[in-house]
Amino acid sequence: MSLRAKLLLLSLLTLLLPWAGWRYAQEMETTLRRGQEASLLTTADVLSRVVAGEPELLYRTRDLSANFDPAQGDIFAPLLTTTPLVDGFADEWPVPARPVPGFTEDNFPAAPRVRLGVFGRSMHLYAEVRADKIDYEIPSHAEFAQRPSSDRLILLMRDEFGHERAWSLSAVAPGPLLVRPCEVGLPWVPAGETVPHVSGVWRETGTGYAIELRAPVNAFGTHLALYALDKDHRTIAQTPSLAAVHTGSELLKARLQRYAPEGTRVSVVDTHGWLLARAGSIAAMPADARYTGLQRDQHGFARSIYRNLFAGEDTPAVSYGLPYGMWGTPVDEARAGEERALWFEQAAGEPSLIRAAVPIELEGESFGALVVEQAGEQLVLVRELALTRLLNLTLAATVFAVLITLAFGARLSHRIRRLSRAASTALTPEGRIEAAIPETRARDELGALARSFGTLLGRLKEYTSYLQTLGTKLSHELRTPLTIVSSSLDNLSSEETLSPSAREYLERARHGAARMHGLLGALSEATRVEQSIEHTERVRFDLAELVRNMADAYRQTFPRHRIEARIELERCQITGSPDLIAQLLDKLMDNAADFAPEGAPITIALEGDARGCRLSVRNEGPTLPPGIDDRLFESLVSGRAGANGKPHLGLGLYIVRLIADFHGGTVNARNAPDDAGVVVTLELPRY
Amino acid sequence: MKKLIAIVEDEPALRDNYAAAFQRHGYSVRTYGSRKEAIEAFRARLPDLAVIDVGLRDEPEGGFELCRELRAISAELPIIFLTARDSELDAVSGLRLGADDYLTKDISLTHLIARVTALFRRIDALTQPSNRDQLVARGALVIDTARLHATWNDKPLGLTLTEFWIVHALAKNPGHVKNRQQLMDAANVVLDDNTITSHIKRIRRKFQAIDPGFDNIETMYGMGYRWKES
Repeated sequence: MSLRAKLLLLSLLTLLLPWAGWRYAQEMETTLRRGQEASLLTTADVLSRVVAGEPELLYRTRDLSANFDPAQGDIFAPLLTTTPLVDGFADEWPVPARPVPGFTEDNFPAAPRVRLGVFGRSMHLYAEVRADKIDYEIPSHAEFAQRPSSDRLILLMRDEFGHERAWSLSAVAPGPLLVRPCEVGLPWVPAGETVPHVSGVWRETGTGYAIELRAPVNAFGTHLALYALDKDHRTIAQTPSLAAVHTGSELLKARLQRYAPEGTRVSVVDTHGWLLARAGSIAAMPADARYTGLQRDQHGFARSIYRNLFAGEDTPAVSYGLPYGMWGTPVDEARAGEERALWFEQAAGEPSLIRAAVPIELEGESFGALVVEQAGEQLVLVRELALTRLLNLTLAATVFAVLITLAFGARLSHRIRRLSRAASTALTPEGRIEAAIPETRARDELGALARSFGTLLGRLKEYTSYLQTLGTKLSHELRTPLTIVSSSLDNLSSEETLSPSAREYLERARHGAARMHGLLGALSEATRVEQSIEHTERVRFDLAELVRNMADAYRQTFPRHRIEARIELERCQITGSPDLIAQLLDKLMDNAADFAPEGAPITIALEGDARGCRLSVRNEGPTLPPGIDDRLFESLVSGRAGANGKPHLGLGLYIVRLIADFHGGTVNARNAPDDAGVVVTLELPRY
Repeated sequence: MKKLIAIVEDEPALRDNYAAAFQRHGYSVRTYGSRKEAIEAFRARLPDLAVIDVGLRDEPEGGFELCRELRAISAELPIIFLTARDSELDAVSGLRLGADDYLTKDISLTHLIARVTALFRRIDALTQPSNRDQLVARGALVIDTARLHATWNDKPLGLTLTEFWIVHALAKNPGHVKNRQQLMDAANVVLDDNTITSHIKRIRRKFQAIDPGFDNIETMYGMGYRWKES
């Protein structure tokens, strides 16, 4: 794994930042929520005490709380939010979103379907009756109303004191309803006059007829029964019993309206969950004004992403069955005597809100529950905005950190790679040390490393150059004592009194001294060549002609070998020093002649193309030892197996290389393809 | 009268060996171990020839310095450098200071004596009456063997004695290739191959200083040099 990848991984740790921020925001939100819940519960508690002080506002009769049962046909009259048009149609009557007892299920299919509702001081009634044939009153026979001969609907009402009254409802045609008081009991003989303040409509339906009626609330009793009669006073349908009528309380609503804090909505349900009153509004939060610029659609896209990323702890919205009652959490728990506050997601038409429910208790007796609702939207909005900003910021910071780390890592690994490249190439293939270590000025650890590399290579270079100049120094230092020896021998040889044996020894000593001179000269030759290279001027010259001349000359110089020249080029102009090239050829020829057996051919070949030319000298003889390769061209390296009397210090090919370098060329030694000898090839660029 | 040779050499054994060899060949010899000692003696009396080591005790370049001082005293005195240093750079410096020869200590005593003898013979030639073929003219080149003087386009070339004899040997037979040995013989010198190359290079440069287009001395690689008629 590269350093860059590691740093990238490491920098990914900064992703913890947004996570931590998110966690923090959540903690904050939870705290805020708990606070709001507690305050709302307190509000609810206070209100519940107010309500508990006036139980008559909840129930018109005490037994309603215990015995009210829609399954037995009892009817609940909710507070209507709008006044229904008295038109015989049930369209504008509220339909609960969940099953409501006595409303949705049809326990008594044969009985008339009855709906009651309170709006202000009016009681609204809607009833549907199945009838095969409808007979209307004949207006001209109004005087015979006491012996009616039309279909009628009888409303039997009983008030809390046990008094019973009945109304007879009929019509002369679909349209306005005629409401007359009538005697209680068959044949329900109506009076001649109509009941005041009561109006209604008769409408024909596909299966029978429907009536809708509005009457003052206090004209209604606490119990109600309906009887549908045909023109012969036979009952064709009737409610199962004299049903208890339980209504919402306008008085309670007015009371709640007075006490409910701004921005909250207060509802009161009875012990069974029927909604008795609802007041206040959760809309129009003044908070919107406080948080200017805090709009729902601000950062909408990002927020929608985050909302999906981090689902909240809100409870899904509950359909309670309004306006009939509230069945569901947390109202059910409150009716059971337990305080509870919950957050609800926003649902159709309602913002997300917090709903606190407390039981209404008086002297240990539960009357129902009180629910306070408040918009949670504000908090949600604040949370989402804060979270969005936080996430955006930390995300940007993370991206920034990752990029910076990546760039830093790239730079670091680039520096290290550069250093390692420099270190690996410091030793040239020719065995020279070219210490060009980068980064030595950097002040960090890499710089220190680079400096140690530089120092190391510098010392190595010194050592190498010491080795390389050792020959020169040695030859210089040895030359003077050797000269003393040889000059003394020279003087000795001119003595005339020497015996023949002494003369013989003298000759041997002189021969040895001469060899030592030769060795010393060879040792310092490389240095001399290096120096002369420094002072050599480059000229254009014809390599082909030079090689041709040299080959001719070598035929005389090396009479014991067969010199063959294969010069393919007529002319070969190169830039360099002909003297040095001649010296180079001398060295190669010396080498070749030393290796080649007597009489064997030595081939000098020159070939080339537009870009360069190749000069090679091939000799027969022993092949190169394996593995020596280009080290042959280093100073003091010799691949020679055995000496044939001449000193071999491994400097000849080093000089060859020096001259090849001067010409920008390369030189290599390879075994001939058939392993019959060695080919040394010099490649020169032609510029 | 015996010729007087001064040897300035800091190594006593070597000094004595050289002195013995010269004395055996009939020269009188004075030896000096340091530059100071030598220059004081030279101020009193000039030798006929000076053999100087470049490195003198604690003065690595003392020989060069001595040569400079000696040339200030006498412009004609033949001076030979004899040194353990063998770099071309040192040789060039020595010759530029007006030395007549630059020899490394590899040289055998026999060769050294021959060299000195040749140098004296050349000096003698200056004082003798001129030969019949005093003037050799090759195009723009005129060589006066009597006065050991050469001109190109009537301008003096300022050749040293060794250079003069090399040019003379080449120009006498234009077109003939003279190998290194032949040139050494002509100049009465014993030089190694590299030194001949350096001499040729310096000679060419002297010609080119007068005539930049000069290319009459041709190198025949592996064989030697020849004078090319323009």
